[in-house]
Amino acid sequence: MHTRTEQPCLIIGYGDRAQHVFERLNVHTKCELLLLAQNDTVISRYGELGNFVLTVARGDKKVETFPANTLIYVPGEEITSYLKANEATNEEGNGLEWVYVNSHGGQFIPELINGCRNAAVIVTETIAPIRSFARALNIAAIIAARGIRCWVMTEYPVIHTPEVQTRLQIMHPGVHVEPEATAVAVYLLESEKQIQVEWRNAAIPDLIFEQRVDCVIRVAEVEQHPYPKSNEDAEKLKRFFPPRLKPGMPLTTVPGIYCLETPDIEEQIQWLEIWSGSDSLIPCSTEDGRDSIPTIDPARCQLCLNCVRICPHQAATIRADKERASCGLMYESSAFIVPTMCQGCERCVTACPAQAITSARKQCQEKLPALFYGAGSFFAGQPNSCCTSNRMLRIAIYCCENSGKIALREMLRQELNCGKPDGTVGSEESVVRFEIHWLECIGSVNRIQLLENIRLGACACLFFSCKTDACRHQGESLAKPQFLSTLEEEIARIMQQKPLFEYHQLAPMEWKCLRNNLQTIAEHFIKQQGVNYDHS
Amino acid sequence: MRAYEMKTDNALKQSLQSGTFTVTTEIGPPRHCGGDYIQQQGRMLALCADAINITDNQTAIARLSSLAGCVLLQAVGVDPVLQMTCRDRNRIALQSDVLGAASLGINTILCLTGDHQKFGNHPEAKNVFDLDSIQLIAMIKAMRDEGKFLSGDEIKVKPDIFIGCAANPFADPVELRVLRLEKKINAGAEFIQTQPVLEIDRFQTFMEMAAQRGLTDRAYVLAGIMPIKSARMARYMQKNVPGMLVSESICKQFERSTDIRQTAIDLAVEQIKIVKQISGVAGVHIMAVAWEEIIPEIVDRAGLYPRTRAVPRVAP
Amino acid sequence: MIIAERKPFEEIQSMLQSHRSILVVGCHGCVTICQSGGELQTQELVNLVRLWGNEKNKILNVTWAMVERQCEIEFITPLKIGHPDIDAILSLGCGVGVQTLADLFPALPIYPGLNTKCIGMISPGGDWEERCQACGNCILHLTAGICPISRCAKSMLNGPCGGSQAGNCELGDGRPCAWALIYRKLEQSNQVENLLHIQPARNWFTARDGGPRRSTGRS
Repeated sequence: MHTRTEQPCLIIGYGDRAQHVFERLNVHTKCELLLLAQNDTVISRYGELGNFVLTVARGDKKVETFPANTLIYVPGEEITSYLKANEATNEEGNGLEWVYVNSHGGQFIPELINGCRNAAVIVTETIAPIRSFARALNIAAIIAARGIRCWVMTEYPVIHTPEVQTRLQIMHPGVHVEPEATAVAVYLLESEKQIQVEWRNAAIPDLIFEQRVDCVIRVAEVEQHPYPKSNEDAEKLKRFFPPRLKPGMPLTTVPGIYCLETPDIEEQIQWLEIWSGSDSLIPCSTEDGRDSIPTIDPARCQLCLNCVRICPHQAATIRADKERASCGLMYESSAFIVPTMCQGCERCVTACPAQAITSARKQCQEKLPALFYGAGSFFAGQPNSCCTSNRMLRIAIYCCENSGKIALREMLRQELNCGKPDGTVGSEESVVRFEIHWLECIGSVNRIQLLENIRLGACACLFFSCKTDACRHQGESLAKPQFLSTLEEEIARIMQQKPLFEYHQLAPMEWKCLRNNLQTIAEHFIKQQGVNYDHS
Repeated sequence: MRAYEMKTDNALKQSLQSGTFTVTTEIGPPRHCGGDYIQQQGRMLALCADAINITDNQTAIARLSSLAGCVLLQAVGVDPVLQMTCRDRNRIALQSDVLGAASLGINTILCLTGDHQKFGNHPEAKNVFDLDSIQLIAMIKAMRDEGKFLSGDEIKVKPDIFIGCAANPFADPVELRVLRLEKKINAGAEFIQTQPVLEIDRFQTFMEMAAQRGLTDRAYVLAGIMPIKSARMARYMQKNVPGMLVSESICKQFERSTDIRQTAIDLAVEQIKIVKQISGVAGVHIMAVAWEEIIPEIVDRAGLYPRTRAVPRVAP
Repeated sequence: MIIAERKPFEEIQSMLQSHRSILVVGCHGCVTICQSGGELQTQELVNLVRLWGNEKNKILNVTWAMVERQCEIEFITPLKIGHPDIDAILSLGCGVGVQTLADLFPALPIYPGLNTKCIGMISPGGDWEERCQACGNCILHLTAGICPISRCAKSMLNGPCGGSQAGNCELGDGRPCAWALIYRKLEQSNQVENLLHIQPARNWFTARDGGPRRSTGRS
């Protein structure tokens, strides 16, 4: 997910650890380091949508301002050792990944929960718990409307206060509030497409495990400190989340505030590296002067309202043109994307039936394939019995943003220097050329392009995607998305033989051993082509 | 003596007007041209009912026509009720059939909209629905009382038709069903045959509401009684048939029964006894399609013998 | 808006199989919005046809063009110039578009690539539902703004029929009963008694029953 400004990712903390994180991440993304001294205070945090501006009062009363789109808080050694001392059985080394949803948090929800099936929204604060609870419910409703079951939980007896109850009645009329309840489930009633609310009384951790929550969102008020004030919050949350949390619970890609307060900070940093590789922490490049939001061609736009309907951030709209109207409303002749609301998810690009919307990412992506031809070293130097000596072995790779891109960046980092200047790899006998196609989601693969690729001789298509149950393009089977099967069948009917589609799906943790995975895939592929692969 | 002629007497009308608890029933014509079946059933049921309906391509399955079936029934001395749906014929054909029926001495017509052809064996057919049931009722009334076609042209020899309609007290909302009944009566309906009563409470509510609006003073309501053949049928009707409400207790009764035939008869008799007590109910319409042989026993045990015509009219 | 769906590819194959050079024409009008004959779909279909054509070595040439609206002669006339040597045209326009093309290219077979379904609008679920039957005599003011002719399966004017249950049409598939909708609307404005008024038998002559219609756009 692209951010809208050039502001960096800000790493804030006490001591060596923050330095360490900074050094690691600065490789991938524009970072700044803000080391705090013991008597420094972060006074306030304001920000436009998605951006933060930390105002820090140094011990000597000097006030500095740090704008950023992402904050990563790294606690100092003493907190970490304290935690370590109290974490008796943390073998898995997984801690809590949590994100603050800031005051404009509703807009980030789609990205936040991408890939989740069960989300938990936790209200644990002492300041304005009622307002937070109401806001948490709103957030929960947004999440539930996307078909993801959501639990709103609180340790405080806020639910029983009259204010909250009144608010609940307004938001969800007809809801009967149960006494003693500590958790609310918010979900979409499929048959009637309504948001339902029901109450539970259960200990929060049990609820989380029972419901197999796979994403945790913490709701906080803006005025609160952007990072855990002290051990107090950490303590509280530790109580809720014992170490046996599920491994691989997704770290969200929202530019928000990440707290690296777990013992296994190394793993956290690795995660951040991976995510920073997927542009989530990267401020968008505006060096070439292009805007990072998609552009709409007014000549093609038909005002069909698809983009307006599909945009999860309400960024696409049709503006009234009061000048032209003699009475009532008249609209401008094309849709318009509000720059401050657009988060660059580019759903509108695929939804536009008139192809009037151009992706903003293409400019960045076009630079990438050249780098990745180097990744073909897997196949380097292997004679291919299926090809004539002059023929290029074209392999189309389709990756989804979530995992595929990470995967290939991993490959890139390890294989960067293997490619030739002209973008091909291999010896004279066999030339393998990869063409990388980035997709927001594997389900948005462009059928036309895919068909064209096959027609023009791509001998195989590799699809890389993430393994999440809730991915809307996977349906019941984790093996292969339905649409790919349909496409395969269609092409098979026409061409009288099945196209060579390889579909590879890896869970987030598995991308870590990506190189091995790809090696296996490559071997398998080469074997299929009737070639002997030599590891040397 | 002419075999078929316009007649002025009408057994059903007479029975209803005299205040006797009236019984009608129906025969589903065969899916072939062998008319003996109708006559055979007719003979069996002649003494059980004051009049017998011949259904019109029910559930959109092509069968021997209702008009022909009525003629066949007449030949065995039974008073027929012609059923007409709007699904298959336009106003020209409908008016033509009304004239034809009247000329043959068939003077009772039940006006229906008709099930959609999707349910039948010719789902690809074009459906007509030139009129709906209410417009059909109004049309026949105008033919009878004003001697006019829908076009406004005069009818020299007016058909004298006793007009009936169907009612479904079991669809939702019930207020709308009562309103629709009123609309049909306003249009000219004189007697009503309801859908099978398989849920007494709802039927009772319906009748009360109808009485409140004065409808039971203006038209005769015949409660539908349908003997159930099996537990499966009960369940099927509960779940699959549009516009039918079957209570859970009835389904359970059949699921537990060891003698289905007896249970069916018992239930039907019980239902008749109950509806007889409800104010405004002028009779019953017993529907036992493909199981007509059960009807005489039901009529007997419900104490409804003898009927208006003790002796069947003999054809020349 | 006119809603159309693309025919199954097998059917299109059977139409095109004896031809060598084909022009596929899409339309920027209604069929773009309902995503059956827009530029994306046209390109996709062209690629499918080319793939199939390659395999069978049958179709040598497949070209495509988009026009503003297939139902306007001025917009389709330029097609005559740019595409010589074609022996068939596959139209991805509604039925009107196919016929306009047929008028313009009398010597060529024009194949309909779409099945024109109805005049409709988008439903909350994202699919398209029929709303208007072009009956030629609109009575929506009498039915609380809900058209019984297009939305009632039996086009009843004094509905509902006996098969309407729980607000659903007897046809099933979760289709609402139009008359249940009308009733609910009238209930809200306390006008239920309006339903007592008997709608007389309708004059269907203004509809398709009276023959193909012509109009000047004014009455």
